Amino acid sequence: MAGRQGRSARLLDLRPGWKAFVNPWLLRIANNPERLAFIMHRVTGVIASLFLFLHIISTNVPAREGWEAWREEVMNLQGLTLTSILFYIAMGAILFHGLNGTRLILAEALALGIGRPEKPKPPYIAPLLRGFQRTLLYATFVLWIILWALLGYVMFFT
Amino acid sequence: MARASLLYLLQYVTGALMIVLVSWHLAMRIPWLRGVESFIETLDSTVVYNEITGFSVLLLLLAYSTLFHGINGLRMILLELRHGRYWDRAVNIAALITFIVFAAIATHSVVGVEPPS
Amino acid sequence: MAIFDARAAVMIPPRKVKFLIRRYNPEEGRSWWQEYEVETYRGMTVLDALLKIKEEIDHTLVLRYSCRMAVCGSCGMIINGTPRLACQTQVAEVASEARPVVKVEPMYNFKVIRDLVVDFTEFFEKHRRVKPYLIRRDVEERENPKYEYRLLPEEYESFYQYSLCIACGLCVSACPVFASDRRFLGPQALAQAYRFIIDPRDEGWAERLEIVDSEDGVFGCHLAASCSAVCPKEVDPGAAIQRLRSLLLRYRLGLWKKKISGPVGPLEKKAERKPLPPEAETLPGVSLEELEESEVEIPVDELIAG
Ligand code: SF4
Ligand code: FES
Repeated sequence: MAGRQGRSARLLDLRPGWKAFVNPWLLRIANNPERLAFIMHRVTGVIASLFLFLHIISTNVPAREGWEAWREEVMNLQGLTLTSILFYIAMGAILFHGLNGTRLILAEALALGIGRPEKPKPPYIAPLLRGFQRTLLYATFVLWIILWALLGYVMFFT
Repeated sequence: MARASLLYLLQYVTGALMIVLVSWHLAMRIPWLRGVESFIETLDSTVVYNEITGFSVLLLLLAYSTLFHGINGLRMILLELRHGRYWDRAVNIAALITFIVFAAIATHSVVGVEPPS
Repeated sequence: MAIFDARAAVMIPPRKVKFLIRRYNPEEGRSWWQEYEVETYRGMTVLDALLKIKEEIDHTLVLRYSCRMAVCGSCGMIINGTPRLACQTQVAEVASEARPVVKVEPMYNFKVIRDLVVDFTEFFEKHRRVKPYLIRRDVEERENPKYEYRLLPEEYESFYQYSLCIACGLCVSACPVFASDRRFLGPQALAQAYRFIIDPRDEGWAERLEIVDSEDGVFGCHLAASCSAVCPKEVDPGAAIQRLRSLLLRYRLGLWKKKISGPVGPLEKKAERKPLPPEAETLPGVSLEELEESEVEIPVDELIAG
Protein backbone atom coordinates (compact mmCIF):
# COMPACT_ATOMS: atom_id res chain seq x y z
CA MET A 1 0.00 0.00 0.00
CA ALA A 2 2.78 2.38 0.89
CA GLY A 3 4.38 1.86 -2.51
CA ARG A 4 1.08 2.50 -4.23
CA GLN A 5 0.56 5.68 -2.29
CA GLY A 6 4.05 6.83 -3.16
CA ARG A 7 3.27 6.23 -6.80
CA SER A 8 -0.09 7.92 -6.92
CA ALA A 9 1.27 10.96 -5.09
CA ARG A 10 3.40 11.66 -8.14
CA LEU A 11 0.52 11.58 -10.64
CA LEU A 12 -0.38 14.91 -12.15
CA ASP A 13 -3.95 16.05 -11.66
CA LEU A 14 -5.21 18.14 -14.56
CA ARG A 15 -8.81 18.46 -13.43
CA PRO A 16 -10.17 21.93 -14.23
CA GLY A 17 -12.36 21.93 -11.08
CA TRP A 18 -15.01 24.63 -10.71
CA LYS A 19 -13.66 26.41 -13.78
CA ALA A 20 -15.58 23.84 -15.80
CA PHE A 21 -18.87 25.44 -14.83
CA VAL A 22 -17.97 29.04 -15.29
CA ASN A 23 -15.81 28.85 -18.39
CA PRO A 24 -17.62 27.82 -21.59
CA TRP A 25 -14.34 27.91 -23.56
CA LEU A 26 -12.53 25.35 -21.44
CA LEU A 27 -13.01 22.68 -24.08
CA ARG A 28 -13.89 23.24 -27.69
CA ILE A 29 -16.62 20.75 -28.35
CA ALA A 30 -18.55 21.17 -31.57
CA ASN A 31 -22.34 20.86 -31.76
CA ASN A 32 -22.82 21.27 -28.03
CA PRO A 33 -24.86 24.35 -27.04
CA GLU A 34 -26.20 22.29 -24.14
CA ARG A 35 -22.91 22.83 -22.37
CA LEU A 36 -23.33 26.60 -22.61
CA ALA A 37 -26.88 26.19 -21.32
CA PHE A 38 -25.58 24.08 -18.42
CA ILE A 39 -23.09 26.76 -17.43
CA MET A 40 -25.65 29.52 -17.74
CA HIS A 41 -28.20 27.50 -15.80
CA ARG A 42 -25.73 27.20 -12.91
CA VAL A 43 -24.69 30.83 -12.94
CA THR A 44 -28.24 32.15 -13.27
CA GLY A 45 -29.34 29.70 -10.57
CA VAL A 46 -26.81 31.09 -8.12
CA ILE A 47 -27.78 34.67 -9.02
CA ALA A 48 -31.46 33.81 -8.65
CA SER A 49 -31.00 32.23 -5.22
CA LEU A 50 -29.01 35.19 -3.93
CA PHE A 51 -31.73 37.47 -5.30
CA LEU A 52 -34.33 35.28 -3.59
CA PHE A 53 -32.70 35.76 -0.20
CA LEU A 54 -32.53 39.52 -0.65
CA HIS A 55 -36.08 39.59 -2.02
CA ILE A 56 -37.47 37.75 0.99
CA ILE A 57 -35.69 40.12 3.34
CA SER A 58 -36.80 43.22 1.45
CA THR A 59 -40.43 42.15 1.08
CA ASN A 60 -40.44 41.61 4.82
CA VAL A 61 -40.12 45.39 5.27
CA PRO A 62 -43.88 46.24 5.35
CA ALA A 63 -44.44 43.71 8.11
CA ARG A 64 -41.27 44.65 10.00
CA GLU A 65 -40.96 48.40 9.64
CA GLY A 66 -44.22 49.56 8.16
CA TRP A 67 -45.28 50.98 4.81
CA GLU A 68 -43.28 54.16 5.01
CA ALA A 69 -40.03 52.19 4.77
CA TRP A 70 -41.49 50.19 1.90
CA ARG A 71 -42.21 53.34 -0.09
CA GLU A 72 -38.63 54.47 0.37
CA GLU A 73 -37.39 51.12 -0.78
CA VAL A 74 -39.53 51.18 -3.89
CA MET A 75 -38.23 54.61 -4.80
CA ASN A 76 -34.79 52.99 -5.22
CA LEU A 77 -36.21 51.01 -8.12
CA GLN A 78 -37.40 54.05 -10.04
CA GLY A 79 -35.26 55.12 -12.97
CA LEU A 80 -31.73 54.00 -13.65
CA THR A 81 -30.17 53.34 -10.26
CA LEU A 82 -27.73 50.71 -9.05
CA THR A 83 -30.56 48.84 -7.35
CA SER A 84 -32.74 48.84 -10.43
CA ILE A 85 -29.89 47.63 -12.63
CA LEU A 86 -29.03 44.77 -10.27
CA PHE A 87 -32.74 44.00 -10.08
CA TYR A 88 -32.93 43.91 -13.86
CA ILE A 89 -29.95 41.51 -14.04
CA ALA A 90 -31.56 39.24 -11.47
CA MET A 91 -34.77 39.25 -13.51
CA GLY A 92 -32.81 38.17 -16.59
CA ALA A 93 -31.24 35.35 -14.61
CA ILE A 94 -34.63 34.18 -13.40
CA LEU A 95 -36.12 34.30 -16.90
CA PHE A 96 -33.32 32.20 -18.36
CA HIS A 97 -33.38 29.76 -15.47
CA GLY A 98 -37.11 29.28 -15.86
CA LEU A 99 -37.09 28.87 -19.64
CA ASN A 100 -34.14 26.51 -19.64
CA GLY A 101 -35.55 24.74 -16.59
CA THR A 102 -38.68 23.85 -18.55
CA ARG A 103 -36.53 22.04 -21.08
CA LEU A 104 -34.54 20.37 -18.32
CA ILE A 105 -37.62 19.08 -16.53
CA LEU A 106 -38.90 17.58 -19.77
CA ALA A 107 -35.58 15.98 -20.64
CA GLU A 108 -34.28 14.96 -17.23
CA ALA A 109 -37.33 14.00 -15.23
CA LEU A 110 -39.57 12.76 -18.02
CA ALA A 111 -36.95 11.72 -20.61
CA LEU A 112 -38.83 13.61 -23.32
CA GLY A 113 -37.27 15.12 -26.41
CA ILE A 114 -34.01 13.21 -26.18
CA GLY A 115 -34.42 11.07 -29.28
CA ARG A 116 -34.66 7.31 -29.26
CA PRO A 117 -31.88 4.70 -29.24
CA GLU A 118 -30.81 3.73 -32.73
CA LYS A 119 -28.18 1.78 -34.57
CA PRO A 120 -25.30 4.23 -35.09
CA LYS A 121 -24.78 5.32 -38.66
CA PRO A 122 -22.78 8.09 -40.31
CA PRO A 123 -22.36 10.93 -39.57
CA TYR A 124 -22.63 9.61 -36.01
CA ILE A 125 -24.44 12.44 -34.32
CA ALA A 126 -26.02 11.22 -31.10
CA PRO A 127 -29.86 11.20 -31.01
CA LEU A 128 -29.77 13.39 -27.90
CA LEU A 129 -28.22 16.18 -29.93
CA ARG A 130 -30.84 15.85 -32.66
CA GLY A 131 -33.84 15.51 -30.37
CA PHE A 132 -36.63 17.97 -29.70
CA GLN A 133 -34.74 19.35 -26.70
CA ARG A 134 -32.32 21.00 -29.12
CA THR A 135 -35.19 22.95 -30.70
CA LEU A 136 -36.37 23.90 -27.22
CA LEU A 137 -32.87 25.06 -26.40
CA TYR A 138 -32.73 27.43 -29.35
CA ALA A 139 -36.23 28.62 -28.49
CA THR A 140 -35.02 29.25 -24.93
CA PHE A 141 -32.28 31.58 -26.09
CA VAL A 142 -34.54 33.48 -28.47
CA LEU A 143 -37.43 33.81 -26.00
CA TRP A 144 -35.05 34.82 -23.26
CA ILE A 145 -33.68 37.75 -25.21
CA ILE A 146 -37.17 38.89 -26.24
CA LEU A 147 -38.67 38.59 -22.76
CA TRP A 148 -35.73 40.24 -21.09
CA ALA A 149 -35.88 43.17 -23.50
CA LEU A 150 -39.63 43.50 -22.88
CA LEU A 151 -38.99 43.47 -19.17
CA GLY A 152 -36.44 46.23 -19.58
CA TYR A 153 -39.06 48.27 -21.41
CA VAL A 154 -41.58 47.73 -18.63
CA MET A 155 -39.08 48.54 -15.89
CA PHE A 156 -37.34 51.55 -17.32
CA PHE A 157 -39.74 53.12 -19.83
CA THR A 158 -43.13 53.02 -18.15
CA MET B 1 -30.03 12.39 4.67
CA ALA B 2 -33.04 11.69 2.69
CA ARG B 3 -32.71 9.65 -0.44
CA ALA B 4 -31.36 11.60 -3.37
CA SER B 5 -34.26 10.53 -5.56
CA LEU B 6 -36.79 12.08 -3.19
CA LEU B 7 -34.90 15.39 -3.04
CA TYR B 8 -34.58 15.51 -6.79
CA LEU B 9 -38.20 14.58 -7.32
CA LEU B 10 -39.07 17.57 -5.13
CA GLN B 11 -36.57 19.67 -7.07
CA TYR B 12 -38.37 18.88 -10.33
CA VAL B 13 -41.84 19.24 -8.84
CA THR B 14 -41.07 22.61 -7.26
CA GLY B 15 -39.42 23.60 -10.52
CA ALA B 16 -42.57 22.84 -12.47
CA LEU B 17 -44.69 24.61 -9.87
CA MET B 18 -42.45 27.67 -10.03
CA ILE B 19 -42.76 27.95 -13.79
CA VAL B 20 -46.44 28.65 -13.19
CA LEU B 21 -46.17 30.65 -9.98
CA VAL B 22 -43.23 32.85 -10.97
CA SER B 23 -44.91 33.67 -14.28
CA TRP B 24 -47.94 34.79 -12.31
CA HIS B 25 -45.78 36.66 -9.81
CA LEU B 26 -44.04 38.54 -12.62
CA ALA B 27 -47.28 39.15 -14.50
CA MET B 28 -48.60 40.97 -11.42
CA ARG B 29 -45.96 43.61 -12.11
CA ILE B 30 -47.01 44.33 -15.68
CA PRO B 31 -48.70 47.74 -15.50
CA TRP B 32 -51.24 47.23 -18.34
CA LEU B 33 -52.63 44.08 -16.76
CA ARG B 34 -53.23 45.98 -13.54
CA GLY B 35 -54.73 49.01 -15.21
CA VAL B 36 -52.05 51.45 -14.07
CA GLU B 37 -49.53 53.58 -15.93
CA SER B 38 -46.09 52.44 -14.77
CA PHE B 39 -44.14 49.62 -13.21
CA ILE B 40 -43.53 51.59 -10.02
CA GLU B 41 -47.26 52.09 -9.49
CA THR B 42 -47.75 48.33 -9.29
CA LEU B 43 -45.55 48.46 -6.19
CA ASP B 44 -47.80 50.99 -4.49
CA SER B 45 -48.57 50.07 -0.88
CA THR B 46 -52.31 49.53 -1.28
CA VAL B 47 -51.81 47.40 -4.40
CA VAL B 48 -49.16 45.31 -2.65
CA TYR B 49 -51.24 45.00 0.49
CA ASN B 50 -54.24 43.75 -1.46
CA GLU B 51 -52.02 41.29 -3.25
CA ILE B 52 -50.48 39.93 -0.05
CA THR B 53 -53.81 39.47 1.69
CA GLY B 54 -55.69 38.30 -1.40
CA PHE B 55 -53.17 35.66 -2.53
CA SER B 56 -51.46 34.81 0.75
CA VAL B 57 -51.57 31.05 0.24
CA LEU B 58 -50.17 31.23 -3.29
CA LEU B 59 -47.42 33.61 -2.21
CA LEU B 60 -46.41 31.36 0.66
CA LEU B 61 -46.41 28.33 -1.61
CA LEU B 62 -44.23 30.26 -4.03
CA ALA B 63 -41.84 31.28 -1.24
CA TYR B 64 -41.46 27.78 0.16
CA SER B 65 -41.00 26.03 -3.15
CA THR B 66 -38.56 28.66 -4.40
CA LEU B 67 -36.58 28.46 -1.18
CA PHE B 68 -36.41 24.68 -1.39
CA HIS B 69 -35.43 24.74 -5.04
CA GLY B 70 -32.78 27.42 -4.57
CA ILE B 71 -31.23 26.07 -1.41
CA ASN B 72 -31.17 22.51 -2.70
CA GLY B 73 -29.50 23.79 -5.86
CA LEU B 74 -26.82 25.66 -3.92
CA ARG B 75 -26.32 22.63 -1.67
CA MET B 76 -25.83 20.46 -4.76
CA ILE B 77 -23.11 22.76 -6.10
CA LEU B 78 -21.36 22.97 -2.74
CA LEU B 79 -21.38 19.19 -2.30
CA GLU B 80 -19.88 18.86 -5.76
CA LEU B 81 -17.06 21.31 -5.15
CA ARG B 82 -15.57 19.69 -2.08
CA HIS B 83 -15.86 16.41 -0.32
CA GLY B 84 -15.37 15.23 3.21
CA ARG B 85 -17.57 13.97 6.00
CA TYR B 86 -17.58 17.22 7.95
CA TRP B 87 -18.04 19.37 4.88
CA ASP B 88 -21.01 17.31 3.71
CA ARG B 89 -22.64 17.48 7.09
CA ALA B 90 -21.95 21.20 7.48
CA VAL B 91 -23.48 21.92 4.07
CA ASN B 92 -26.57 19.89 4.81
CA ILE B 93 -27.12 21.52 8.19
CA ALA B 94 -26.49 24.99 6.81
CA ALA B 95 -29.01 24.32 4.05
CA LEU B 96 -31.63 23.21 6.55
CA ILE B 97 -31.06 26.24 8.79
CA THR B 98 -31.18 28.66 5.86
CA PHE B 99 -34.45 27.13 4.73
CA ILE B 100 -36.03 27.43 8.17
CA VAL B 101 -34.85 31.00 8.74
CA PHE B 102 -35.97 32.32 5.38
CA ALA B 103 -39.23 30.40 5.46
CA ALA B 104 -39.93 32.04 8.82
CA ILE B 105 -39.17 35.49 7.44
CA ALA B 106 -41.42 34.85 4.43
CA THR B 107 -44.22 33.64 6.65
CA HIS B 108 -43.88 36.75 8.80
CA SER B 109 -44.08 39.04 5.78
CA VAL B 110 -47.43 37.53 4.85
CA VAL B 111 -48.93 36.93 8.27
CA GLY B 112 -47.67 40.01 10.09
CA VAL B 113 -48.60 42.62 7.52
CA GLU B 114 -50.76 45.60 8.61
CA PRO B 115 -53.02 47.63 6.26
CA PRO B 116 -51.31 50.81 5.00
CA SER B 117 -52.53 54.02 6.57
CA MET C 1 -17.59 19.13 -37.56
CA ALA C 2 -18.99 15.91 -36.48
CA ILE C 3 -16.84 13.30 -34.89
CA PHE C 4 -17.03 11.53 -38.19
CA ASP C 5 -16.24 13.88 -41.05
CA ALA C 6 -16.35 12.26 -44.46
CA ARG C 7 -14.54 15.20 -46.05
CA ALA C 8 -11.47 14.45 -43.92
CA ALA C 9 -10.66 11.54 -46.19
CA VAL C 10 -9.78 13.79 -49.11
CA MET C 11 -8.30 16.72 -47.24
CA ILE C 12 -4.60 17.38 -47.53
CA PRO C 13 -2.79 18.57 -44.40
CA PRO C 14 -0.27 21.42 -44.47
CA ARG C 15 3.17 20.09 -45.40
CA LYS C 16 4.76 20.91 -42.08
CA VAL C 17 2.72 20.91 -38.89
CA LYS C 18 3.84 22.11 -35.48
CA PHE C 19 2.87 19.80 -32.63
CA LEU C 20 2.57 21.36 -29.18
CA ILE C 21 2.53 18.56 -26.64
CA ARG C 22 1.90 18.89 -22.94
CA ARG C 23 4.42 16.64 -21.28
CA TYR C 24 4.87 15.47 -17.72
CA ASN C 25 7.79 13.83 -16.03
CA PRO C 26 6.78 12.08 -12.79
CA GLU C 27 10.35 11.65 -11.53
CA GLU C 28 10.95 15.38 -11.48
CA GLY C 29 7.29 16.29 -11.04
CA ARG C 30 7.71 18.70 -13.95
CA SER C 31 5.10 19.54 -16.59
CA TRP C 32 5.88 21.57 -19.68
CA TRP C 33 4.85 22.23 -23.28
CA GLN C 34 7.15 20.90 -25.95
CA GLU C 35 7.20 21.76 -29.61
CA TYR C 36 7.93 19.42 -32.51
CA GLU C 37 7.76 19.96 -36.24
CA VAL C 38 6.47 17.07 -38.29
CA GLU C 39 6.41 16.56 -42.01
CA THR C 40 2.99 15.27 -42.93
CA TYR C 41 1.52 13.16 -45.68
CA ARG C 42 -1.98 12.74 -46.95
CA GLY C 43 -4.07 10.53 -44.66
CA MET C 44 -1.81 11.03 -41.64
CA THR C 45 -3.60 10.73 -38.32
CA VAL C 46 -2.56 12.49 -35.15
CA LEU C 47 -1.50 9.12 -33.77
CA ASP C 48 0.75 8.56 -36.81
CA ALA C 49 2.30 11.95 -36.23
CA LEU C 50 2.92 11.24 -32.55
CA LEU C 51 4.53 7.91 -33.41
CA LYS C 52 6.66 9.64 -36.01
CA ILE C 53 7.84 12.09 -33.37
CA LYS C 54 8.62 9.19 -31.06
CA GLU C 55 10.55 7.34 -33.76
CA GLU C 56 12.44 10.16 -35.41
CA ILE C 57 12.67 13.13 -33.08
CA ASP C 58 12.20 12.33 -29.40
CA HIS C 59 12.20 8.77 -28.06
CA THR C 60 11.15 9.88 -24.61
CA LEU C 61 7.61 10.81 -25.64
CA VAL C 62 5.20 8.38 -23.99
CA LEU C 63 1.71 7.57 -25.22
CA ARG C 64 -0.73 4.70 -25.14
CA TYR C 65 -2.25 3.13 -28.24
CA SER C 66 -3.01 -0.26 -29.60
CA CYS C 67 -5.38 -0.85 -32.50
CA ARG C 68 -4.83 2.36 -34.56
CA MET C 69 -8.42 2.05 -35.82
CA ALA C 70 -10.75 3.44 -33.14
CA VAL C 71 -11.61 0.04 -31.72
CA CYS C 72 -9.61 -0.39 -28.53
CA GLY C 73 -10.14 3.03 -26.94
CA SER C 74 -6.55 3.49 -25.74
CA CYS C 75 -5.56 6.67 -27.48
CA GLY C 76 -7.96 9.29 -26.11
CA MET C 77 -6.37 12.74 -25.90
CA ILE C 78 -7.36 16.37 -25.97
CA ILE C 79 -6.51 17.55 -29.46
CA ASN C 80 -6.84 21.29 -30.05
CA GLY C 81 -9.19 21.49 -27.09
CA THR C 82 -11.50 18.66 -28.13
CA PRO C 83 -11.40 15.23 -26.52
CA ARG C 84 -10.85 12.79 -29.42
CA LEU C 85 -9.24 9.53 -30.33
CA ALA C 86 -5.83 10.31 -31.81
CA CYS C 87 -6.09 7.45 -34.29
CA GLN C 88 -9.47 8.64 -35.54
CA THR C 89 -8.38 12.24 -36.09
CA GLN C 90 -6.80 13.26 -39.34
CA VAL C 91 -4.11 15.91 -39.06
CA ALA C 92 -5.85 17.66 -41.94
CA GLU C 93 -8.99 17.98 -39.83
CA VAL C 94 -7.33 19.83 -36.97
CA ALA C 95 -4.55 21.76 -38.70
CA SER C 96 -5.06 24.21 -41.54
CA GLU C 97 -2.71 26.16 -43.77
CA ALA C 98 -3.64 29.26 -41.82
CA ARG C 99 -2.89 27.62 -38.48
CA PRO C 100 -0.63 24.60 -38.89
CA VAL C 101 -0.53 23.92 -35.14
CA VAL C 102 -1.88 20.90 -33.27
CA LYS C 103 -2.07 21.07 -29.49
CA VAL C 104 -2.11 17.68 -27.77
CA GLU C 105 -2.84 17.28 -24.08
CA PRO C 106 -3.53 14.28 -21.89
CA MET C 107 -7.24 13.80 -21.08
CA TYR C 108 -8.65 16.06 -18.37
CA ASN C 109 -10.35 14.59 -15.30
CA PHE C 110 -7.85 11.74 -15.21
CA LYS C 111 -4.55 11.67 -13.39
CA VAL C 112 -1.53 11.78 -15.65
CA ILE C 113 1.06 9.05 -15.27
CA ARG C 114 3.52 10.38 -17.81
CA ASP C 115 3.25 12.60 -20.87
CA LEU C 116 0.02 11.55 -22.60
CA VAL C 117 -0.69 8.41 -20.57
CA VAL C 118 -3.44 8.73 -17.98
CA ASP C 119 -4.47 6.54 -15.08
CA PHE C 120 -7.67 4.56 -15.71
CA THR C 121 -7.84 2.90 -12.27
CA GLU C 122 -10.69 5.11 -11.03
CA PHE C 123 -12.53 4.88 -14.31
CA PHE C 124 -12.59 1.08 -14.30
CA GLU C 125 -13.32 1.05 -10.57
CA LYS C 126 -16.46 3.07 -11.26
CA HIS C 127 -17.37 0.91 -14.21
CA ARG C 128 -17.08 -2.14 -11.98
CA ARG C 129 -19.18 -0.53 -9.29
CA VAL C 130 -22.34 -0.56 -11.42
CA LYS C 131 -21.98 -4.34 -11.99
CA PRO C 132 -21.70 -4.33 -15.78
CA TYR C 133 -22.73 -7.93 -16.37
CA LEU C 134 -25.93 -9.97 -16.49
CA ILE C 135 -27.07 -11.11 -13.06
CA ARG C 136 -29.45 -14.08 -12.78
CA ARG C 137 -31.16 -15.38 -9.65
CA ASP C 138 -31.05 -18.98 -10.87
CA VAL C 139 -27.35 -19.78 -10.48
CA GLU C 140 -27.74 -23.37 -11.66
CA GLU C 141 -29.33 -22.19 -14.88
CA ARG C 142 -26.70 -19.51 -15.33
CA GLU C 143 -23.76 -21.83 -14.84
CA ASN C 144 -25.07 -24.69 -16.97
CA PRO C 145 -27.41 -23.08 -19.44
CA LYS C 146 -29.49 -25.38 -21.61
CA TYR C 147 -31.31 -22.77 -23.65
CA GLU C 148 -30.75 -19.17 -24.59
CA TYR C 149 -32.66 -16.28 -22.98
CA ARG C 150 -35.42 -14.67 -24.92
CA LEU C 151 -34.61 -11.24 -26.39
CA LEU C 152 -36.95 -9.57 -28.83
CA PRO C 153 -35.51 -7.37 -31.56
CA GLU C 154 -37.09 -4.20 -30.18
CA GLU C 155 -35.73 -4.94 -26.69
CA TYR C 156 -32.35 -5.47 -28.26
CA GLU C 157 -32.52 -2.14 -30.02
CA SER C 158 -33.37 -0.33 -26.79
CA PHE C 159 -29.89 -0.99 -25.41
CA TYR C 160 -27.76 -2.02 -28.38
CA GLN C 161 -26.42 1.49 -28.85
CA TYR C 162 -25.23 1.70 -25.25
CA SER C 163 -23.44 -1.63 -25.47
CA LEU C 164 -21.05 -0.28 -28.11
CA CYS C 165 -18.92 1.56 -25.54
CA ILE C 166 -15.19 0.96 -25.93
CA ALA C 167 -14.28 2.49 -22.54
CA CYS C 168 -12.08 5.17 -24.06
CA GLY C 169 -12.88 7.70 -21.33
CA LEU C 170 -13.47 10.63 -23.69
CA CYS C 171 -16.93 11.25 -22.25
CA VAL C 172 -15.51 11.43 -18.74
CA SER C 173 -12.81 13.86 -19.80
CA ALA C 174 -15.41 16.10 -21.44
CA CYS C 175 -17.83 16.05 -18.49
CA PRO C 176 -17.99 19.40 -16.65
CA VAL C 177 -19.44 17.80 -13.53
CA PHE C 178 -16.69 15.23 -13.31
CA ALA C 179 -14.21 18.09 -13.52
CA SER C 180 -15.09 19.19 -10.01
CA ASP C 181 -16.72 16.12 -8.50
CA ARG C 182 -14.37 13.20 -8.25
CA ARG C 183 -17.05 11.01 -6.63
CA PHE C 184 -19.40 11.29 -9.60
CA LEU C 185 -19.79 7.95 -11.33
CA GLY C 186 -19.38 9.51 -14.74
CA PRO C 187 -21.21 9.12 -18.05
CA GLN C 188 -19.59 5.86 -19.04
CA ALA C 189 -20.48 3.95 -15.86
CA LEU C 190 -24.02 5.37 -15.77
CA ALA C 191 -24.66 4.51 -19.41
CA GLN C 192 -23.52 0.96 -18.71
CA ALA C 193 -25.75 0.81 -15.63
CA TYR C 194 -28.71 1.75 -17.82
CA ARG C 195 -27.71 -0.73 -20.49
CA PHE C 196 -27.92 -3.59 -17.99
CA ILE C 197 -30.92 -2.32 -16.06
CA ILE C 198 -33.20 -2.37 -19.10
CA ASP C 199 -31.80 -5.59 -20.49
CA PRO C 200 -34.74 -7.99 -20.07
CA ARG C 201 -32.34 -10.89 -19.40
CA ASP C 202 -30.98 -9.19 -16.29
CA GLU C 203 -32.27 -9.60 -12.74
CA GLY C 204 -29.78 -7.42 -10.86
CA TRP C 205 -31.56 -4.16 -11.71
CA ALA C 206 -32.68 -3.38 -8.15
CA GLU C 207 -29.12 -3.43 -6.77
CA ARG C 208 -27.94 -1.26 -9.61
CA LEU C 209 -30.75 1.25 -9.08
CA GLU C 210 -29.71 1.51 -5.42
CA ILE C 211 -26.13 2.22 -6.48
CA VAL C 212 -26.99 4.97 -8.94
CA ASP C 213 -29.58 6.62 -6.69
CA SER C 214 -27.39 9.32 -5.16
CA GLU C 215 -25.95 12.77 -5.78
CA ASP C 216 -22.80 11.12 -7.03
CA GLY C 217 -24.75 8.74 -9.22
CA VAL C 218 -27.41 9.58 -11.73
CA PHE C 219 -28.39 12.86 -10.05
CA GLY C 220 -24.92 14.29 -10.53
CA CYS C 221 -25.69 14.70 -14.23
CA HIS C 222 -27.01 18.08 -15.34
CA LEU C 223 -27.38 17.47 -19.04
CA ALA C 224 -24.39 19.33 -20.46
CA ALA C 225 -24.46 16.64 -23.18
CA SER C 226 -20.74 16.97 -23.85
CA CYS C 227 -20.39 13.22 -23.41
CA SER C 228 -22.75 12.52 -26.30
CA ALA C 229 -21.02 15.13 -28.43
CA VAL C 230 -17.53 13.63 -28.09
CA CYS C 231 -18.27 9.89 -27.97
CA PRO C 232 -16.51 8.29 -30.97
CA LYS C 233 -18.95 5.35 -31.05
CA GLU C 234 -22.17 7.36 -30.85
CA VAL C 235 -23.02 5.64 -27.57
CA ASP C 236 -25.04 8.68 -26.44
CA PRO C 237 -24.36 8.38 -22.71
CA GLY C 238 -26.23 11.63 -22.12
CA ALA C 239 -29.54 10.21 -23.30
CA ALA C 240 -28.89 6.97 -21.40
CA ILE C 241 -28.48 8.91 -18.15
CA GLN C 242 -31.69 10.89 -18.70
CA ARG C 243 -33.59 7.65 -19.37
CA LEU C 244 -32.04 6.09 -16.28
CA ARG C 245 -33.00 9.04 -14.12
CA SER C 246 -36.55 9.18 -15.34
CA LEU C 247 -36.82 5.41 -14.90
CA LEU C 248 -35.47 5.68 -11.35
CA LEU C 249 -37.96 8.41 -10.44
CA ARG C 250 -40.80 6.38 -11.91
CA TYR C 251 -39.58 3.30 -10.06
CA ARG C 252 -39.54 5.17 -6.74
CA LEU C 253 -43.12 6.29 -7.42
CA GLY C 254 -44.11 2.71 -8.19
CA LEU C 255 -44.79 3.43 -11.85
CA TRP C 256 -42.12 1.23 -13.39
CA LYS C 257 -41.94 -2.53 -13.46
CA LYS C 258 -39.03 -4.46 -14.85
CA LYS C 259 -39.81 -6.95 -17.59
CA ILE C 260 -37.73 -10.07 -17.20
CA SER C 261 -37.50 -12.82 -19.75
CA GLY C 262 -36.22 -16.28 -19.02
CA PRO C 263 -34.86 -19.13 -21.16
CA VAL C 264 -36.85 -19.78 -24.32
CA GLY C 265 -37.11 -23.52 -23.76
CA PRO C 266 -36.75 -26.24 -26.37
CA LEU C 267 -37.39 -25.25 -29.95
CA GLU C 268 -40.64 -26.25 -31.56
CA LYS C 269 -40.91 -29.61 -33.29
CA LYS C 270 -39.45 -29.77 -36.74
CA ALA C 271 -42.04 -28.70 -39.27
CA GLU C 272 -43.26 -30.87 -42.12
CA ARG C 273 -40.97 -30.66 -45.08
CA LYS C 274 -42.53 -28.94 -48.05
CA PRO C 275 -42.12 -30.89 -51.25
CA LEU C 276 -39.78 -29.37 -53.80
CA PRO C 277 -41.41 -27.60 -56.70
CA PRO C 278 -41.47 -29.89 -59.75
CA GLU C 279 -38.94 -27.81 -61.71
CA ALA C 280 -36.26 -28.19 -58.99
CA GLU C 281 -34.11 -31.27 -59.24
CA THR C 282 -31.38 -32.65 -56.99
CA LEU C 283 -28.02 -33.67 -58.40
CA PRO C 284 -27.89 -37.29 -59.43
CA GLY C 285 -27.03 -39.55 -56.52
CA VAL C 286 -28.01 -37.04 -53.80
CA SER C 287 -30.95 -37.77 -51.55
CA LEU C 288 -32.37 -34.91 -49.54
CA GLU C 289 -33.80 -37.17 -46.80
CA GLU C 290 -30.41 -38.73 -46.22
CA LEU C 291 -28.65 -35.41 -46.11
CA GLU C 292 -31.06 -34.10 -43.51
CA GLU C 293 -30.60 -37.05 -41.20
CA SER C 294 -26.81 -37.27 -41.41
CA GLU C 295 -24.52 -35.29 -39.07
CA VAL C 296 -22.47 -32.53 -40.61
CA GLU C 297 -18.85 -33.56 -40.74
CA ILE C 298 -15.98 -31.19 -41.38
CA PRO C 299 -12.67 -33.00 -41.87
CA VAL C 300 -10.68 -30.56 -39.77
CA ASP C 301 -7.52 -32.65 -39.46
CA GLU C 302 -7.42 -33.31 -43.16
CA LEU C 303 -7.89 -29.66 -43.95
CA ILE C 304 -5.07 -28.60 -41.65
CA ALA C 305 -2.72 -31.27 -42.97
CA GLY C 306 -3.60 -30.48 -46.56
S1 SF4 D 1 -19.44 6.13 -23.79
FE1 SF4 D 1 -18.35 6.69 -25.69
S2 SF4 D 1 -16.88 8.27 -25.03
FE2 SF4 D 1 -17.58 7.24 -23.17
S3 SF4 D 1 -16.07 5.61 -22.77
FE3 SF4 D 1 -17.74 4.71 -23.98
S4 SF4 D 1 -17.10 4.88 -26.12
FE4 SF4 D 1 -15.80 6.28 -24.91
S1 FES E 1 -5.34 3.10 -30.93
FE1 FES E 1 -7.14 1.92 -30.52
S2 FES E 1 -8.62 3.48 -30.39
FE2 FES E 1 -6.91 4.63 -31.06
